[in-house]
Amino acid sequence: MSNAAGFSNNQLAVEQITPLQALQSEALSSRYRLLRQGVNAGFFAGLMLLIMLLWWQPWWPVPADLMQVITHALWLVPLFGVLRAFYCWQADKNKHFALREHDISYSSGIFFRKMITQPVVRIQHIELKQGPLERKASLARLQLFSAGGALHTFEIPGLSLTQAQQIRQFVLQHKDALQDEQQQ
Amino acid sequence: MNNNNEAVAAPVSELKQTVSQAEWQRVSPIAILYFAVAVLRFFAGQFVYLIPPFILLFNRIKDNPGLAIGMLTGLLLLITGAALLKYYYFQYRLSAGTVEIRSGVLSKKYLNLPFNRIQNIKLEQPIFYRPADYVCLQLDTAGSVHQEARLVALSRPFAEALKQHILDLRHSVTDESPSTEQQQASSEPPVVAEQLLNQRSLADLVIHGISNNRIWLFLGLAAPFYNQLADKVLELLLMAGIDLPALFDPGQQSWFVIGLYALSLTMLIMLLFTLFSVLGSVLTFYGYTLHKKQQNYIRRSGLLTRHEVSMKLSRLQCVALKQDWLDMLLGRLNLNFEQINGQQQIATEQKIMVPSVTLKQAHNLVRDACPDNKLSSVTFNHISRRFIWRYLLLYWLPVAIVAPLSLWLRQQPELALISVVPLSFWALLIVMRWYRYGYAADNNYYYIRRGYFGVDYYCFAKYKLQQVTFRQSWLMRRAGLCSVKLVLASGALEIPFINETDGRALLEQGLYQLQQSRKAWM
Repeated sequence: MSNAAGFSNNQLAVEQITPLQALQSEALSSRYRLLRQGVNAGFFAGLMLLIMLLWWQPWWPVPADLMQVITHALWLVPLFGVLRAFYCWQADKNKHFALREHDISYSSGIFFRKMITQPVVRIQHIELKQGPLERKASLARLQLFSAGGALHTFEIPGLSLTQAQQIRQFVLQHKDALQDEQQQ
Repeated sequence: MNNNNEAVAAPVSELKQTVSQAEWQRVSPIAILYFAVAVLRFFAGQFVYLIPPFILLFNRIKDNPGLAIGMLTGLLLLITGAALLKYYYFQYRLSAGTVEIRSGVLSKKYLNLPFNRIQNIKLEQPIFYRPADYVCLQLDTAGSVHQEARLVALSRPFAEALKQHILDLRHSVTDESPSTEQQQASSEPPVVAEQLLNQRSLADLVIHGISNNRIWLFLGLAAPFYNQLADKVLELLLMAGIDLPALFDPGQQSWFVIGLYALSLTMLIMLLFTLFSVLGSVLTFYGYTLHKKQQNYIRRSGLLTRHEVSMKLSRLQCVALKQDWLDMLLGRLNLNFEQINGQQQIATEQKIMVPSVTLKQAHNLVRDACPDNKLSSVTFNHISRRFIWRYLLLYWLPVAIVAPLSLWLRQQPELALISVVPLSFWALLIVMRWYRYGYAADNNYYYIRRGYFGVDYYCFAKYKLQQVTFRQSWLMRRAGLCSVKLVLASGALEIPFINETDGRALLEQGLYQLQQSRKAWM
């Protein structure tokens, strides 16, 4: 791994450490954004198709109440679809991650910005997850588990597979990650 | 594909390989059965609500057995297919210091687990593994439940050897410091005496019972019987000439009288509860002692069943001093030694809590558990007043406008007037929450204060941090504020609406401490 070759773990004085706010954060894979847009479009198109079928089908008389719902759905569903697409686009644009020598950070959120920092020393185990669509797009989600519990599982979505593997390697080869339990 | 048998002869041989040398392996084919049962269980869990209609439809099914048989075969085929695929895609690889597991048919999972992170090893043997003596090896980390790694279907000797290897590895690593301790200890008297840290008298327990209504626990347990109980009570009262439904009927009584009845009834019930609560407190904490032996805390208590719980001091994550409003009046507080929360929900009996100690005793105990801490003398910083505005404007105000207005419009002016009481109480809660929030830090510890009418103090070492979160909304950024969350193995603590530079410094110092000190968190 290229990361492993240039890896150093020298001790740093506080002044030398890059503060969290000054981190050069990296964006997620652009394929992730496209995939999310695709899934969103697919879902709403499917929903729309279903509603249209109900609207046009000649075999089964639709009750008047339901008909009213359908007429509203005909314009509400596409509106939601477009709004969600716009929201996802913006939200995904704001998802970043950054690596320091001893920790990994992931930031997200449009109005409510949030940055989670996971020290490598405290990582218990690592999982790389790929759904069927993510596999098609060779994307992966990296989950880092700490003792903080299931609610606080650190996850970076939408990494390219090689990137995810590199980060996993970085964590596994981190000296502290193996030393921690040895010192009492 | 089954490499288990070869491995039995030299189980540890694979564990000397590096990751690149190691080969991916499949578990024994008997795992297909394991997966089939798992899939079946999943189906049963998902479709349990379909059983009653099935029973209802049983007669129809009897008339039309062809379809039923067809469906059943289909289901069986599906389960077999799923189990086969799951088996095919389940692979593991052992190398020096790590186990890796690849699994999943559609959704792929790739798990990496270093041996030194394993906290618990369990061997599980479902009944169908017994004839061929296979086991399922379950490796738990300190993460939470359902996150463990499972090596399904290993032959027992292989699993035992692997387990032993992992355990040995851990001992060889962790034993170094205890062994030196033991050597030192051997020059001294061999038996280390227990040091009494705290002791509770019966009077303390009565105070604890009054100020901590443990009755809610009983009430929760009795919840399924409420309806029957209520009917019984009403019947009894009616026999005694009291008709509760009539007393509380707004058609027959004025609101004021109903309020008075409700108040006196509540008081009566509270009195009963308190009595029960004192009883409960004495039952659980009778003869309470807290001892320290070497680096262990040992708690003993109980009237009927004596409980003895011990905790290694290194497992302590956070010390919490909890004082509700009644405790404040009585000058007492409860001290909790909080441990890891994720792995299993620790039952109340397993927790180390010192009930209703005085402030001085509490500070002595905290000093012993967290040396050099300044909890008793530290000055807490207040959080920003914007905290109040946020909760008032965002949640309180809409309700405060809508609720009385809608009651007024529905011709219920009395209720609208009364609704001012809970509303002002809510507003008071928000202000108190702001007032109680406080934070401080020194070189080694974080101190957090929070509460409503009561106060809780938390004190924990910086190196115990597991993860940190920095949060900031657009409005907060403009005001130079932020919220931070400090995640410990015992749970997360949030400090909202603090100065941005302070927040960043808090996180930065914590991360620096934990990374630089390299101390183990447990």
